[in-house]
Amino acid sequence: MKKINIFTLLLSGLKLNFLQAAWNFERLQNIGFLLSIYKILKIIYKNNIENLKIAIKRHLEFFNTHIFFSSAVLGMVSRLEEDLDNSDPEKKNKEIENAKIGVMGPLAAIGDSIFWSAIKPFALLTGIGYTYLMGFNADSLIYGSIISIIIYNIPRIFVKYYLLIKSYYDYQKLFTLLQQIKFQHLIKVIKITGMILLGVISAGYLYKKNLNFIPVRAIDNFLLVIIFILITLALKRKTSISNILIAIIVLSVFISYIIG
Amino acid sequence: MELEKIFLLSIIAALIELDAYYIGMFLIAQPLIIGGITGYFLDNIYVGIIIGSVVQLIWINNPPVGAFVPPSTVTISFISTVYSIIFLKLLSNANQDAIFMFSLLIGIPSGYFVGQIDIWHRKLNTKIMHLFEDKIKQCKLLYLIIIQFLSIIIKILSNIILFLLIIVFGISLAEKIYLSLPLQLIRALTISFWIMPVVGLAVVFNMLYSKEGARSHGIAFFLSYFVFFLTNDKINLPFFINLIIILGFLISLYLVFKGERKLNEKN
Repeated sequence: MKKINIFTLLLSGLKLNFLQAAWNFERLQNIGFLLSIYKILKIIYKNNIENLKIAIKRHLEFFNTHIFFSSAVLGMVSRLEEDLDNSDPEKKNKEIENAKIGVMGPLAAIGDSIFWSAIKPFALLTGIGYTYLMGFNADSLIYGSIISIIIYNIPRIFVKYYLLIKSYYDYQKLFTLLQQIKFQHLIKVIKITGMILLGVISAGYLYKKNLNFIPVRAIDNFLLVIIFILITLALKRKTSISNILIAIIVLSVFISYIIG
Repeated sequence: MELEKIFLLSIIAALIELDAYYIGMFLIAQPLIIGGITGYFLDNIYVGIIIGSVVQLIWINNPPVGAFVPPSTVTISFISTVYSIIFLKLLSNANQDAIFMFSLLIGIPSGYFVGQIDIWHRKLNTKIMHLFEDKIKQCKLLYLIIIQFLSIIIKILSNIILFLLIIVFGISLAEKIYLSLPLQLIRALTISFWIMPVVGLAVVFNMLYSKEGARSHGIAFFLSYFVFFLTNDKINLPFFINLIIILGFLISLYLVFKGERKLNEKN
């Protein structure tokens, strides 16, 4: 019988916002995860303090996954805590530990590739798009900030709470569900959209930019395109941003002294 | 002069910095947002947005994956904006772009240093966790909350103190350094800042690169330049950007699923 109601589950999901607040190098997100699941454990083991202690000890161990996909682990583990028999704590410990370890890695990989490599950069790029095209003023800042936050947070909230509920009520189908979603396609769509937006931003930037350095727009644009190609090639060769910045400063000093 | 404002802004920046990793990750911790807020309070929103946009572009691919601690882009944007605005007030005849670049050269190491502080902070978190571990095992929820609370407070306080130290004690020193620079170095700073947005655009291009993406980028670039040229920049830009995002999304969907259909047909 399910002891956890939807409100307790959602409240625990909300607490996952603090998952990384006490991140540490030894067990990573364990404190945040335990804080989120604590209320659920208390409900499940309300009549058995010894089992509660064992469960707390269990969740004080290593925990690391993507912050938004951690809700899936929370839902699944809550359900396992409820369903598995308490007569053999060792066995229960092992089963829950194995289940946690089994899902943390794949969820982290999916979350990293979707959110950190696609949605977040795209949202940030949209924000910059408004400022580069509309000018550096309050209107563009407000538009850019709001739209980027919306673009990022809609999938974030959906993924987090959908997975939380789905994994609690139907955790056995969690991986089937994740396999059915075409994540690679989704990432590709977001990246191509980002490239189209980047094309528009680049055009707007070259068309509107103030000519502070070189007074002829055609020459200014031509040189910037050449520099763009050179930096892209350097990035393709895995040169770090800090090295590129240092190289730019050194070359600028060199050019400046040559000009005289 | 604006010590109260700087103090208030340091608190705001430290709170926004929490969103970068510690709490929520709602994307409020954007260099653009902190740059804009700082610019607004220091009466020069233009500078804040320029600096924020450049920082946001260059460090757009900066994910806190696993144990990796990236540099704090909020710090880079905040410190660079404050320095730029104060310098523009102090040195009214100075070259604007050179000041922006000079400020970035102070902001960038500050951001990396905040990243280093975060590493020390995480090591400290391990010690705090061990200190209270036995209590937590005795089902004392309070100690879990204490660990979280301590970690957040340490993060906020360390950031505020660092921001104030860099700004209050650094400004006069940085001003003396800037004034002592030869003309060639100031020109070199101008050249470097001229290149900065292009570095950002190249970073994004490299990050999002795919064959279809590069083709779409080229077409979008030439078409938009043509539109700007034809309309002489007199178009409804918010509408234009939203249209591009929606159209771009539909075109990408088409390209991706067309590619998949072709692959299926081959198989």
